[in-house]
Amino acid sequence: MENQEKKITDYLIEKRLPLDILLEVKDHMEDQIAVLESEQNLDFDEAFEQTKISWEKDLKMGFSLFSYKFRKITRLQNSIMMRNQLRIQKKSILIMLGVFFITSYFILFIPELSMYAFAAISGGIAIFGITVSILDRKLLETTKGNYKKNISVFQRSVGSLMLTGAFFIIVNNILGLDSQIEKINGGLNEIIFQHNFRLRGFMNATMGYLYIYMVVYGYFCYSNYKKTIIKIKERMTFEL
Amino acid sequence: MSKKNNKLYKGTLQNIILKLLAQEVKMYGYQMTQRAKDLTKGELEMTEGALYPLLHKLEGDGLITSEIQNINGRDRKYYLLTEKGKYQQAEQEEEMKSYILNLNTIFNI
Repeated sequence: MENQEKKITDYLIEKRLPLDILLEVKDHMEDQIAVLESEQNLDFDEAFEQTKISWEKDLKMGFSLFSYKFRKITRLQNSIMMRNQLRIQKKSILIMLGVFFITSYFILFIPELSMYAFAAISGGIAIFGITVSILDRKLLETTKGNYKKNISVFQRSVGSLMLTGAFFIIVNNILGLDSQIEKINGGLNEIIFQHNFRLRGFMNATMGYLYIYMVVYGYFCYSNYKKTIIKIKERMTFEL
Repeated sequence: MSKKNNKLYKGTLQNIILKLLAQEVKMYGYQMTQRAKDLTKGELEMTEGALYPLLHKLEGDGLITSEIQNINGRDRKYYLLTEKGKYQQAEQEEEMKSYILNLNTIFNI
């Protein structure tokens, strides 16, 4: 029995599946094999071969946008990552847009308070990113390139995004507050009032918010990764 | 997603999964594929490549949650609806029924 489990695990390791997906596919394959053994009277090897055929298309390996370090990944992993990325990016963009509209409103219509509003929101997000990065630094170490274990589809998306984003917020949005507000104000005026849609104006209006996006996106990836680790630990002894 | 009538079922896979979970309370991946196959007398064969990405998305959206249970010495990942998922499932079921009714009316002209 253990030997059979090992055969399935080895096959899935060959497919370079991250542990979270590997465990799920392994469960599924074991069920499929058990049914084939009992219903079609096949031995384990025959049932396993048939199961592999039914998974062939989904476990076919190729390059993808999500290939880490240009390594091939399975179609299944690609599809799971694509859906997750879309969901996380959508949420992060919505939050970034929320911040953009609130602070733009202050900049355009209540300019005397705009500096405080922009500094408070940017600062809050930067502090949040730094705090999470420090408090959970051990877990975040496992998301970096030099960490070998392939644990989750979210793992490599986290990296140092929160800390890097927070650093840029501090340097550009907090320390360079005056010039940042001026840039956003200039960019917004160009776009909204002068109807001048130059790339430069657009960049000036949005650049400060991209750092905010980095922290928010990094945090969502991190929180999904953390949840995955908890789920894995529920079913096996697992050391990071 | 399905081996038969692929395109027709494609947009409804989420509704199917939510409905199955509403009915059975908790299910694991393989069980879902088999239940859908049984209910449709083999017409709907969900592929794993469509099922798992969708389950992960639904879990990320907070519509379903998962728990690990040990059954006969084997760990299994069971999926179940969250409160938000139950609400959305009920809403989607109503929409789906109305959609099916309308299609039925049109195709029975």
